Amino acid sequence: MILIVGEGADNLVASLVAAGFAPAAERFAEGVHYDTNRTLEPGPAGPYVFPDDVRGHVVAARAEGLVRTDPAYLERAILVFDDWRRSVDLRAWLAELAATLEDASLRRYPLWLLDRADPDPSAFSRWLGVDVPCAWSRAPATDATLPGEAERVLDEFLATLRARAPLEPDQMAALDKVFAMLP
Amino acid sequence: MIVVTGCKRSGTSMWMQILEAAGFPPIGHAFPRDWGETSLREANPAGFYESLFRNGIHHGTNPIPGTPHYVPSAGTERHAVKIFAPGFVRTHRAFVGRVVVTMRPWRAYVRSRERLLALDEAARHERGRAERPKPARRPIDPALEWWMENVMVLRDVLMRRFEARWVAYEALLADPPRHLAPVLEWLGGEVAPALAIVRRELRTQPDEAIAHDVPPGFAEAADTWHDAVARGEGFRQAVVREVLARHDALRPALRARLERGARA
Repeated sequence: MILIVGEGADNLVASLVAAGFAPAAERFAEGVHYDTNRTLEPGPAGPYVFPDDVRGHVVAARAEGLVRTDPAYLERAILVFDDWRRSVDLRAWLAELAATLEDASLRRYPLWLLDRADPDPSAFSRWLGVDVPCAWSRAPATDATLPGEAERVLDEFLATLRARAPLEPDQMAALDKVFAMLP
Repeated sequence: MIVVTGCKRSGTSMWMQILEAAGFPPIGHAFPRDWGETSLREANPAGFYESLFRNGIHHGTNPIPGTPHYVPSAGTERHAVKIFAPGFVRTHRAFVGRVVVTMRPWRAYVRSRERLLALDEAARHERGRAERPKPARRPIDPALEWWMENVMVLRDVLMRRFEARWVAYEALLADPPRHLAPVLEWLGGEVAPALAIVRRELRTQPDEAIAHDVPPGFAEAADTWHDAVARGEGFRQAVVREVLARHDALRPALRARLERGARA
């Protein structure tokens, strides 16, 4: 299964389904684990699926769902991101990105960082093995402002994501400080 | 990983020792570091081989909470890990290779659980915690716990189609070569050093009659099931069908007792 997280994940799932990917059940937005892929008493979570049943299926998931997902089901993950100034919920934006990056670095699954500002999807298509039309829309830029230091930290963070470079410890500490001051 | 599962006090620790002797590195220590010389050791002098993973291997336990330590499934295929039944059914399938399920007769389980509770209470005294109030939650009736946890494991193995062997603890102690060798050969382990681990004196609770109130039909159903496991037929289709039919029949009485227990 390919789990897609971040603002705009739904939009990307629609593009991938149009490109021929099968959509996974919506319950897997919360991840694939014992609550969503029922292994206890029969319940509303639906029938048990095996990894082969959902190979190549795509779902827009919450970062928390991705973190909870059984590695047997996790083929790849895609983190969709955009400039923080286009985020509808900056706190959620930062939390989701941080959780996903931390999880991927710990569990070592293939993760693609998909920048919605990038007009050329060719590298992403090569990674996925399928031509994906660049059809995802962007949210309008807001007039959100933050104290100067916070803006600098977030802009550096974006630059790091776009460069696919590792986050340095002092950068993570600075992000923690920004997160703590966000409403 | 090679998973050892079943109810508590059902031979899971002995299986961990067996698997270690057979060449499978264990996950977990014989005794947690803070146990010292507490009386809890009396319940199992050879150790319990427990880790955080006794509660399952999933997002709540791996990475180890509050740490960046993650145990990957790759590279741990030959490791043995003990996971109790409730944790087993929650375990991510990426970590489950082959499964050894161990079962004791329900009466022995009831006696053993009661003994363990008493030892645990003694250990609390030793550690100077006697003044602490007892937990508000009453432990579940051990007979019902035995039934429900074994059904839980049975259903999970069937539903997730794991490769599993179900072994009766007493049968293994009575005739180790007969019951141990096929399982170890199936796992690809060394038999001879493992046989030395199975010592009859490890059994602390004989299977004798007990005065324990159970629902009508329970004792016969549980005895029949254990006998089938002791014959090596725990996953035989006819046995499975009968256990699940008996579970359906017992379910209302079990539920009523659980609810009554929760209110008490």
